Amino acid sequence: MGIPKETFEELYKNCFTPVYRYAYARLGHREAAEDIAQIVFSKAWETRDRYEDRGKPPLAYLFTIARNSIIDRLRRKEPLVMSDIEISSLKIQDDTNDPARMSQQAESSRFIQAALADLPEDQREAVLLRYIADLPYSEIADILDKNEEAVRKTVSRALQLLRDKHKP
Amino acid sequence: MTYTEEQLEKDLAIYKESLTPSHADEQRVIMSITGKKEQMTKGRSIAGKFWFLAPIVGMALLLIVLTSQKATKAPSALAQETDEIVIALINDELGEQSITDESDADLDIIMSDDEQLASFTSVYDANEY
Repeated sequence: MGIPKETFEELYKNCFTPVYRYAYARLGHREAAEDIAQIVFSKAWETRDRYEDRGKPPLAYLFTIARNSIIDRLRRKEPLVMSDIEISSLKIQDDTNDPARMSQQAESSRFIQAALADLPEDQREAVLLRYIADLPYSEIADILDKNEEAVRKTVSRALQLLRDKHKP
Repeated sequence: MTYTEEQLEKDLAIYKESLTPSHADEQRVIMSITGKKEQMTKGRSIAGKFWFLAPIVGMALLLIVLTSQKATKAPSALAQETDEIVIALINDELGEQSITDESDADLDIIMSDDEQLASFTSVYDANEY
């Protein structure tokens, strides 16, 4: 049966931003994130009739494509490291437009970016799926082929490491 | 001051927001996906409309290939023949020349031998008498 067209459009609306953020955080480049998002939704559209064979819910299915495309890209090319320019161009949204507050937020983003890069691969991936893609633990477990409890533990260990890295 | 889990989650949320795609980013992706689909559909529809032309196009291509092969082969064969004739003519010319030169040279030697013989004979004859 596959994904009906309406469901696919709904998925696109809901999932484009999380997929893009996840790819951006993993690859560190805006253009690379766009490429991954394009691959994900093109593949999902082309294989929508056969998607049930994969035995995963739609969200997990999209993120599995994203994850595999990112791994493939990292294998083919040198790992992309976010440059200083890229970090400084991260969009800091602040309704107050307070320069001091925006500077503080930019500093926080830089810290998180650097601390995530130092995490072991499995922990980084779990944190990104949980906090950047905003996925529930059950979906992350589907994507990573792990049980939910194991994912919770991985995320918990990662958060502890991130906190330890922070120096006031 | 300790870095609490709450603070960390807050920082993660800020970082997440900083990775938000712009409207232009989203539009570019949509355009690239829909553009690809349109291109595929267009290609298929053109092929579907003109499928009956395939054998004619195939024959025309075959004719072009055969004609071009012939056109390229004929001048080269002609050129080869011309080259052979020219080489033969040059060889003949050179051959005759060399023969002439050789015979002239031989003649010179013969003549000079005769002269020597004649002079020797005249000397001998003079002594004899």
